[in-house]
Amino acid sequence: MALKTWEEVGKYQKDVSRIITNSYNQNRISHAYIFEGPNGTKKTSTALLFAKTLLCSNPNGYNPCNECHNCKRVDNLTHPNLFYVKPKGKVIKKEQVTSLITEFSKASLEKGPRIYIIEEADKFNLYSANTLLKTMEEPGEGIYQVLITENYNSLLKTIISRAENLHFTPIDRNIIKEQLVENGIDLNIANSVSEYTVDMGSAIKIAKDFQMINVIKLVTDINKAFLEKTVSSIILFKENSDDILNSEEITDFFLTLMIFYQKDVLNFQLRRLENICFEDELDTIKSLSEKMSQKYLENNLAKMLGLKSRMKYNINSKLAFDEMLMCLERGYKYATFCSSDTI
Amino acid sequence: MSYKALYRIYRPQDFNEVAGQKHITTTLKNALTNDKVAHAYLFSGPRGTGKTSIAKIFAKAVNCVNAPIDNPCNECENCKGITSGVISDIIEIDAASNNGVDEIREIRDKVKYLPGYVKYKVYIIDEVHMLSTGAFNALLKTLEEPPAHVIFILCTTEPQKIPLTIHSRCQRFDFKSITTKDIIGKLEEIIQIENIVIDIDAIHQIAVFAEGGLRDAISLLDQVRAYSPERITEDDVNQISGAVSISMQIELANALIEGNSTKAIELLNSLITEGKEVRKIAFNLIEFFRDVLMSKNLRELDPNNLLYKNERFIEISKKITNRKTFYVLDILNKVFNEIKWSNNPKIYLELAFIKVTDDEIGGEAKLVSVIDNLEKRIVELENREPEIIRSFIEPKHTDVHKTDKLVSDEIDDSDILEDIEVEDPLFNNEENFEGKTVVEEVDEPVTNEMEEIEKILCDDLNQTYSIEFVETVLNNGNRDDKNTLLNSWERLRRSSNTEEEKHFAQILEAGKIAASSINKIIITFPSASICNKLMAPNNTEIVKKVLKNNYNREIDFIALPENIFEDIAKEFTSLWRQGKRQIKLSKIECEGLKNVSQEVKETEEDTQPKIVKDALDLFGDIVKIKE
Repeated sequence: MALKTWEEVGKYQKDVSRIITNSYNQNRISHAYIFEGPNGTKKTSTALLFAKTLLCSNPNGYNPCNECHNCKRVDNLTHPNLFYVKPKGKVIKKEQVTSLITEFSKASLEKGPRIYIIEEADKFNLYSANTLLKTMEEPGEGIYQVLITENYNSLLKTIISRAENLHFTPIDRNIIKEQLVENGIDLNIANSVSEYTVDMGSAIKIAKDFQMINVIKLVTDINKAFLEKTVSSIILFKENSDDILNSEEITDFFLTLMIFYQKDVLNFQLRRLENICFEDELDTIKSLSEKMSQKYLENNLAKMLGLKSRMKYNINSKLAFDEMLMCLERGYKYATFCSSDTI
Repeated sequence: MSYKALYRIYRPQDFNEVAGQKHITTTLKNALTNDKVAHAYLFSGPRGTGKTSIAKIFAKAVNCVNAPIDNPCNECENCKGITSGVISDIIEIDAASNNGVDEIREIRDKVKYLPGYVKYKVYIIDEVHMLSTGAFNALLKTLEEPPAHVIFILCTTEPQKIPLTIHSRCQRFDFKSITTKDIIGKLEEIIQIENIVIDIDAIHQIAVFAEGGLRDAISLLDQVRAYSPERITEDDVNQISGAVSISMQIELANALIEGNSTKAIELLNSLITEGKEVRKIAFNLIEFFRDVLMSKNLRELDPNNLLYKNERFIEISKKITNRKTFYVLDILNKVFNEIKWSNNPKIYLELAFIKVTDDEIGGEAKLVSVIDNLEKRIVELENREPEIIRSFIEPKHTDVHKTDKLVSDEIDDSDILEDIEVEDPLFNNEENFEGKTVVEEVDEPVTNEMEEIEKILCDDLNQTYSIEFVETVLNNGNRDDKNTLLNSWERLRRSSNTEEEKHFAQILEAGKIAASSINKIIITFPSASICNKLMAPNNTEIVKKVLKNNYNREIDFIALPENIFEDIAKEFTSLWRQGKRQIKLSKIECEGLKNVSQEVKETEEDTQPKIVKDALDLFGDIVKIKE
């Protein structure tokens, strides 16, 4: 979804739009920006709009016309004055940066400012980041640079101090929820999906993916099973485990939703009903919250979060999930405290 | 479109413009005026502290037409040429992109050529820590003895990555972080020139956020100016840097301290919708509680930190204990690390908030009560220790006059007695002493001779174990008083002052209060030898003192072995049931008891070593001393 005007940006990122338009009006555009913020906060689209604003041959105030040759070429990433760098593989290699620098030491192909946009700037390795430092501080005339990152903290301090940092705030959950509902998605699903991701694109993708919807259902079923003596959550999980474990994305979704559910139980216990994500499941949440002490719930949540951060490594996720469920189930069904150090 | 960022425009052009770093500029100026310029310098220090700027100023100063001079004139051709970068004898090399051996070899080859326009060829090698090991070593020789017309200036943020061989060949200058005060001064200069309208608080806030980097500070100023061109307020600065405002920090901290997790999480949510970063919120909170610790524990506080002057902050720091602050900081620090690598940072922080507040509800108080309980149990166990030991040894020694049977038999005997008591009251009128012997005869005959001797002894014994005393206590017995005494019986040892008192208190604690009238009590012990010890006149005084210490009143006492007291009590109750009042009892029989009233304790103590004494205390009469 390409953004066409800065007003559109302002809908999602008030401050960013304000700073850039003001700078533009005062002719004070900085030579280097860092756009940082979580996934789905329109960083790349904003960067492209920024490029269009600078390159447009027929601008309307600070807004680009979106129709001229230059604008169209920016949209297609084919403008010769626009350099769009993405990490090759896991890192941005030094060669990529040096080729960029040599490119800028030559005269440009076309008239006008030159812009380079570096995606996932946290993927610089030590060499490439340091290589960029000098150019970043004093690039030639008419050169603008935008670094985009989701992981601000892994950027070099020396890079950060050379650029203006613009923080992109996550899009309000409710906006996403409304949009999902407008798109004809069940409210209950919209609820949990909007809690999971703030990226509109992926939210819609998930909400329409039947596999993901199955995961939502499985999570509610598993939590219901904690209350019943005859159904075992572990067996329920076993029956569906192939679907869940075959893709990393779904595994993460499943675990995150399980965490949300536990958080709901905790929230219910603390009487914070407005924060509950599984609104349809209030009955189950209520009975679960009555079974467990707050301390225990906190412990469980901490363990699950720990598991989540460990999922990045090569662990046997099937075993890990089994253990997590065992622990939860034991806690709820028999109300005994288990030493779940191993989850 | 040729706008330059403020920090590029306001690069210092001579030493006087440099913010801070007085120790470096003075040294360099002196070296310049005295014409004692070294051939290699190493500048190290954190970002934005002026390394590259000073290197450039220095390059100008050595080459200025007016040299030797302490500051470049910035007016001569040379100075102007260097500033605009047209003089090719000042060579700025980015070591990060030219880090190979080949690039360094090129430098080495070119070093020998004389400079084209000016006096010195100056090589400014920036980010020098990025050179490869090979490159460093290739540089070594040139660095040590370059031609007279060459000066090297190496700049780096990470001096520890540079080989020691390089260090030792350079004059090293460590750049310090620029103080908040210096940053404020520099910012004010820029603000005046640029005509920026800004609140004083906002300048201060910018300086604090820059954390010692002037470039960061000027960048931020640039950015805030774009955000609100008319007038910059503190809120604008907070908004741009993503920091939590002080009043919000205080609100949040207050909610956490009060244990109001709901409010804390509401505040967190509102902060996030405002566009604050979770990590930054956590970081601000950590700083806040750090400041709380500072203001609680330091006498002199940083006068530049506005927080210390905030009334509500002071209020909060008074309310919270050190221990609690450490606890909160622990949790927040842990969460802060976890947040770094997570893509759902909000959950972590929420959980941390709940944890912090939850502690307030139960954790600490619970812990204290657990410790109290444990202490109580330990004291109990300590008290029971001698009892436990005795229960193995006792029978052997009390039975000098009685039987070889175990204690349990004794109990059986008394059971029988009790049975008889009920059936035939007359029987109980007989003297207990006789009743006892009757029973004992069942077990083992006692010779008449022994009885005779005992009877004589008994009269004597009455001096120490006066039956009249027992009679008065029993006749005026007061159950309530006994209970109150019992309640603080375990505290005897704690309330005694000297070692000796403690010793006796320990012995006392092994005993039980059997009966009490207001000022007189009967204490029973399992062993007769303890009674003998306590009733010795010297010791009686100490025991009385111990009792006085604990109960704050004078209490007289008598110590009796348990079995004897049982007998006495039986006699007493049966008489009581028959309706008699002011009962007279039969005298106490000897059974291991001695008349100690005349004994002089000290002589005994002197002759006995401590270990023997202790053994006697513990095991009683069965101890035989072998010399």
